[in-house]
Amino acid sequence: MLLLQLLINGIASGALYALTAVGFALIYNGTRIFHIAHGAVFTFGGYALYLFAVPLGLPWIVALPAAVLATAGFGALMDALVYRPLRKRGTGPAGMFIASIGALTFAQAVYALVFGTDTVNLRQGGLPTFDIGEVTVTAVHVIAAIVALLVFPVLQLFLSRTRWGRAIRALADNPRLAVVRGIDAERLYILIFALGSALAGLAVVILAFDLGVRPDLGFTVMFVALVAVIVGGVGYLPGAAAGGFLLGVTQNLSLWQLSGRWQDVVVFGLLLAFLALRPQGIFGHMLVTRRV
Amino acid sequence: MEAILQVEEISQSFGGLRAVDNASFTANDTEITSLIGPNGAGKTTIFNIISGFLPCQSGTIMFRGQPIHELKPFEAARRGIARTFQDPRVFHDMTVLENVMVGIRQKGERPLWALVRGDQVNAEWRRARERSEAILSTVGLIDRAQDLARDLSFGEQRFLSIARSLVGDPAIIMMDEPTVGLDRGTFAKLLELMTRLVEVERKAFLVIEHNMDAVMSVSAKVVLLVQGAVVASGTPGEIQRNRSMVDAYLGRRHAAASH
Amino acid sequence: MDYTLHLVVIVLIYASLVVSLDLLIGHTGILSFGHAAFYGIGAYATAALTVYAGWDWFSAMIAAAAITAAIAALVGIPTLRLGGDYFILAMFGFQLIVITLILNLEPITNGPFGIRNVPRPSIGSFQIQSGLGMALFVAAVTGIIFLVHWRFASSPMKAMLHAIRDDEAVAMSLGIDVVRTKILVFAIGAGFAALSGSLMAFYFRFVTANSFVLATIILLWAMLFVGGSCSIAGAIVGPAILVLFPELFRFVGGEGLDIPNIQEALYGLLLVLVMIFRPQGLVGRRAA
Repeated sequence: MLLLQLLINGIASGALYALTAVGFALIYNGTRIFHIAHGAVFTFGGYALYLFAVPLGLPWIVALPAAVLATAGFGALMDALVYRPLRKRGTGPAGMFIASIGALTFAQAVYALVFGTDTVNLRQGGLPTFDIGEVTVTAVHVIAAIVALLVFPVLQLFLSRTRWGRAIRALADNPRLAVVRGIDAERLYILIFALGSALAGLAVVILAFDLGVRPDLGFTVMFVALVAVIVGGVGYLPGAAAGGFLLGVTQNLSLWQLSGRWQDVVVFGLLLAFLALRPQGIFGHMLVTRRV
Repeated sequence: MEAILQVEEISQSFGGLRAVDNASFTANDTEITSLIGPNGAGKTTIFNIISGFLPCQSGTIMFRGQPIHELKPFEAARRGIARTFQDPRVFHDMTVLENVMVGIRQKGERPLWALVRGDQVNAEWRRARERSEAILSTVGLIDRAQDLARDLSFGEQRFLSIARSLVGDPAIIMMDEPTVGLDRGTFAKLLELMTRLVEVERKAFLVIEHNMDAVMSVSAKVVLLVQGAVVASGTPGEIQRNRSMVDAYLGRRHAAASH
Repeated sequence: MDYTLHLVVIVLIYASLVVSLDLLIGHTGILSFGHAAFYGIGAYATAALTVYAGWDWFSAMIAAAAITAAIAALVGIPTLRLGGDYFILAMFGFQLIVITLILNLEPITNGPFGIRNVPRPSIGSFQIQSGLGMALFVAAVTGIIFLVHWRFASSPMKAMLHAIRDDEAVAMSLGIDVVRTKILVFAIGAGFAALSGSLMAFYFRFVTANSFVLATIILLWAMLFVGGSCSIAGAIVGPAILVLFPELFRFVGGEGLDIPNIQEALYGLLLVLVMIFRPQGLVGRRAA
């Protein structure tokens, strides 16, 4: 039944959006930087996987985790090269955002120059699939869902039980107080970027394995992830995850009636509706930026 | 002595926290009223409610006999309620004079008028400039008129933020901890300025203060707020005589200060 | 000579866009990612009104600007009262929705094929035919746009906008109706972007969604910050550099080079470098 198939596809996409969204949200909450270049970090992971698996010919069991680590590293590198110099300068959030746009644009163009603008495929054959009644479930569907379901509780434990995790939360809740209390913000930023980027890395290796990589891959995923963060409520990581799943499902279910060309409109229509009617998201969170 | 500001039974809760608890007090015209109390007592919250930055959850606030608790901040300001903030928050990239001038609303700010600048707009602008220069003289910053606000000392920035709030000719000026960070000389100048503004320009002041010297020397009335509730209110003498109140307050302050 | 004139026209059209973008970003602090979308709406409205409805160029231009300003006001009302980051995202979304609508509302926009044969402007019975004539027309309209913005920047309006940009809460405490002013400025900026769109439609005689994509708004931002915000001169310097510099590649590179992506890489890199090393841009008066 078509609707059920769309639902299954939606949950799988939703898992990937959720991972990307939580990665972005982790970085945003912890550093207050609107790190739109997260999309470029995402894409980097895809190309890293390609390089490890194809020219270097490493077995998947090595290439996949290596690509995730590479993504984490690239995210941390971006903080070191772009955001840290700006922090030292005392640049405000607007300037950070502009630099992030610049980094995204630059990275995407470089990917296109190096790898070309066509989709680079990573695997040759088809994927194992299971047919349950009229719906087809691919291995990717299953893996995406499993990864998401495993990662989020682990992340939650990390943030609430470990020293580093609690430090990140303290920094997210009240940056100034955290620094006063002796938290080394710079080292924490590296960790936050690495962690957030690793989540994106997990998402991209699954996606790239299935569909290949192209220069603007991360960009398109990023936008849905951003909408997921808003829909879930900015400042609330479980909300970002829930938002991701909701958007994946909505986007796919909309295919039931609308052609694929309108998918973006559906997603952004949802965004504008939330911004206009419920900016604090489903769960009622809004990262308070100083008003008075 | 007429009441210019009447705060009646206002309460404010944030989540489960009750920041302001049925607070009532009045501030009189041409007087300095001080709002004192330990940190976290809800004083700035009350300021934010009066000036419209926070919605009034319950109770009423009357200003010159008119209810103001539903007004937005810019509306309250236009009615004659000026306020300063704990940090001077001057506009760093503007000169001292420009900072003050931005406190006067003019026709030239509207796009059409800005484009088709007639005599009216130019005259208004000149008047605004003259008034701003006069205010700068009043606060003692006229010599710094062309300097960039970022180049001023902290004390000068404090005075600049006060000048900026005065230029619109408010009836009451609400100041949030104006003496913090000022050296002895500047501190004395501030008190002198406030007294002068009350006696000569007939302004009213509502001031959040921790500095007891300031409070006791210039206030006509003191309101003591503890954990969101008004615990005592009266002349400085009365508050001081009410030792148990003062001790409770100071005791809490000492306990807080020793952390 | 013809090609040089063509480049000058391109620079002028971009300059007219950057100066109105500067009103929003540089002076008021409204980080608008929707400017290219408003440029596009203006261009399409102008083209549709002249080609399908047979309007004269002047009425079409004014109407396009008014329609675009109205749309901007509608979009701005719910979104401007939210914090900066929400607004940025909303504008990204708006920009994407506009492109999708342009590509899909075929009866009005002719979909991906665009609208062709936009008539050249005429003064009385004289219709501008030559390249030089069109260049002068573009220069004249751009000049007017610059004049208006220069008037704004030398009026009390400028200080009020700066107050909003620098500290909204303080601005409110001084009696400034921040929300209403931001919506008004946003609509004005969009209206001017629409005028630039009209220029584009008349000059190229052809409008297509490709000219108003996300890469366009990023280019505009790069032009603004490389030239320098809060600056009339910056609004010319930025476009001049970012349009003319890649032209050098045509002489150096030649065949086989992916010029568009090299340009994109350059724009991106410049944005980052400018923010790190010279945030006020080349001739701007204010760091972001």
